[in-house]
Amino acid sequence: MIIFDQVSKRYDGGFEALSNVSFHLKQGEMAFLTGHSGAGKSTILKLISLMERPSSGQVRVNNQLTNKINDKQIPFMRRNFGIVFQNHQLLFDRSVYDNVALPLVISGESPKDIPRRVRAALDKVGLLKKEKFNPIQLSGGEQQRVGIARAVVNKPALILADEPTGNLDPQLAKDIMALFAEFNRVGTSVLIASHDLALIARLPYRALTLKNGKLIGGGMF
Amino acid sequence: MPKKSSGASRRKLSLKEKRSAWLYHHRQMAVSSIKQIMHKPLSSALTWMVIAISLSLPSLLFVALDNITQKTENLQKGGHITLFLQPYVSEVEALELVESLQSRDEIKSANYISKDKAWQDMQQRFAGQQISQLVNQNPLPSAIEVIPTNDDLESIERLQLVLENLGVVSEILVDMAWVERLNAWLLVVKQTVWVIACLLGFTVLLVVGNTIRLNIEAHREEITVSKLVGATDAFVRRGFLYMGFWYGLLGAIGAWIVVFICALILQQPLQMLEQNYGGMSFSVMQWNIRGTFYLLAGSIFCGMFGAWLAVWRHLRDINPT
Repeated sequence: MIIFDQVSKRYDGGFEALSNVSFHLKQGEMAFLTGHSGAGKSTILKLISLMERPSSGQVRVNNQLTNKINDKQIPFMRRNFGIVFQNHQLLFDRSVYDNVALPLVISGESPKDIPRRVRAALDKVGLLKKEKFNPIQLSGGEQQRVGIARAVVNKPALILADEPTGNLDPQLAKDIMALFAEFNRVGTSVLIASHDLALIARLPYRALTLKNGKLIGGGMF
Repeated sequence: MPKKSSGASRRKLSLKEKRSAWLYHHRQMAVSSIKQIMHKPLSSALTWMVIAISLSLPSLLFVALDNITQKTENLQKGGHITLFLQPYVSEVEALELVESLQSRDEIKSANYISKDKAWQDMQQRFAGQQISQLVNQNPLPSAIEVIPTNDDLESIERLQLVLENLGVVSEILVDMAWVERLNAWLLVVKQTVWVIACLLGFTVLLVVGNTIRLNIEAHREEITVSKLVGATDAFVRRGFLYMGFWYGLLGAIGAWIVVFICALILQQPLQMLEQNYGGMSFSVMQWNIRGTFYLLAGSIFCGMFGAWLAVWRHLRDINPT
C-alpha cells in the first residue's frame, strides 16, 4: 500500500526532517508511526498525502510513484485515502452532516447517493443522531469521530491519521483506536501517527519508530 | 449499515453521474455565493457600487461618442462635389459631360448649372442689395454639381482624382476639410475613451480581486480541508468565480442605472439643443442593446478575472513543494 524507499526530506535552511527512511505498509495492514515530536511523523504523512514532496528517494502509494504525480493529479490521488487530523479540521460554518458530505461533493458523487453514504459513515462512528448539530456543539471525542466519519465516507483503501487521540483522555483515545481497528478488520489499510506510547504498546500492531528523522524500529518488511 | 468499507467496493462513477454532480455543484455555488453577497448587504454594496461608478463613466462616454458618431454620419451624407467649368465650354458640351458622368457607377447624380442660372440664383439670394449694380457682368462660371454614390472620405477622394483629370474642369470644390478634421477629433476622443475604459476596467479587476481575497481569507480553512480531501483547483475556484460573476453583474446593472439617470437629466438640454439646430436631431441618449451587452460582458469578465487572479495566488501558495 505504502512503500518508502530511502526517502529524505530537507527543508529550506538545511534542516533534515527525514533521512533515508524505508518501510513498507502492506495492503490491509494497520501500523503506528511513533516518535518524539519533531521526529518526522507528520512529514511522512505529508509525503504520503502529497502535501510535500521528497528531496530524494521514492514514495509509492497504491502502487503509484508519487514523484510522477503532477500537481493536477494530486486531488484525484487524495480521493483514494481518508485523512484524520489532530485538530480534526472540521468546518464550523456548517452541520456535522455537511462536514461529512464534503469529500463526496468534491469527488462528484451523485447528489442522490450522498445522504445514504453520509448516514452510513455517521452510523459507523455512532453519531447518526447528531447529523444536524454544528460541530462546535460536540465534545472533543465526538468532533474527532466526525473527522473520522469524513475520512471514511469515501470508502478509502487507506486511512491516514495524524495524532488522532492527541487531545483526548485515555478512555476516549482507546475508543477511537478501536474504531480504526474496526475499519482495518474489513480491509482498510491504516497508518496512525501518535506519540501515545502507552496506548500503542497495548495494541497488537506494528510500530514504526522515528528518531531525529531516522527510522529506528519497525521498518523491516 | 453497509458492511464493507474496503477500497475494493468503491464504485466508479459514470460520466452522466459526474456531469449531474458537476451541474449540481455549479448550481449550489451560484446560489451560495449570491447568498453570501446578500448576507452582508452593506459591505458588498460598497464593492459593487465602486464597480458601478467605475463603469458608468466610460459607459457614459461611449454612449455620448456613439451618439456623436451617428449624428456626424448624418451630416456627412449628401456631401457633394462642384465642378467649375472652363469659360470656353459650351452648354452642349457641358450637357454631354453631365450625361457621361451620370453613366458612371460611382456617381449618383450630376446636375448642370448654367452660369446664367447661377447668376439668377445669386441675385435672388442677395435681393435688395442690388448686386447687379456693383458687378456689371456675370462673373460666374458654369458648373456641374456631382453627388457621389458613396459618401465616405475614401471614395470621395478617389472620385476627386478622376474628375480633376477631365480637361474642361477649371476647379473642383469638395467641402470635405471640416469632415476630415471632425473625424480626426473623433478618433482622438475615441482612443481617449478607450484608455479611460481600460484604466477603469483595471480598477474593477483590482476591487473585485481584493474583495475576493478577503473572502478567501475568511474561507482559508475550508479551502485547506477541501484540498486535503481531494478538491481540484477548479472545485475550490468555482464558488469564488461565481462571486466575481455576481459582483460584475451587480456592478453592470448599477452602471446601467447611473447612465440611465444621466440620460434622463440630459434629455431636456439636448432637446433644447435640437430645437436650436433645426434639422439636426439630438435625440435622447440611446442606450442600445449592443452597448448594454458590452457593459454586462465587460463587467462580468473583469469580476470573474479578478476573482480568478485572487484564487490563483492563494492556491499557488498551498501547492506542495
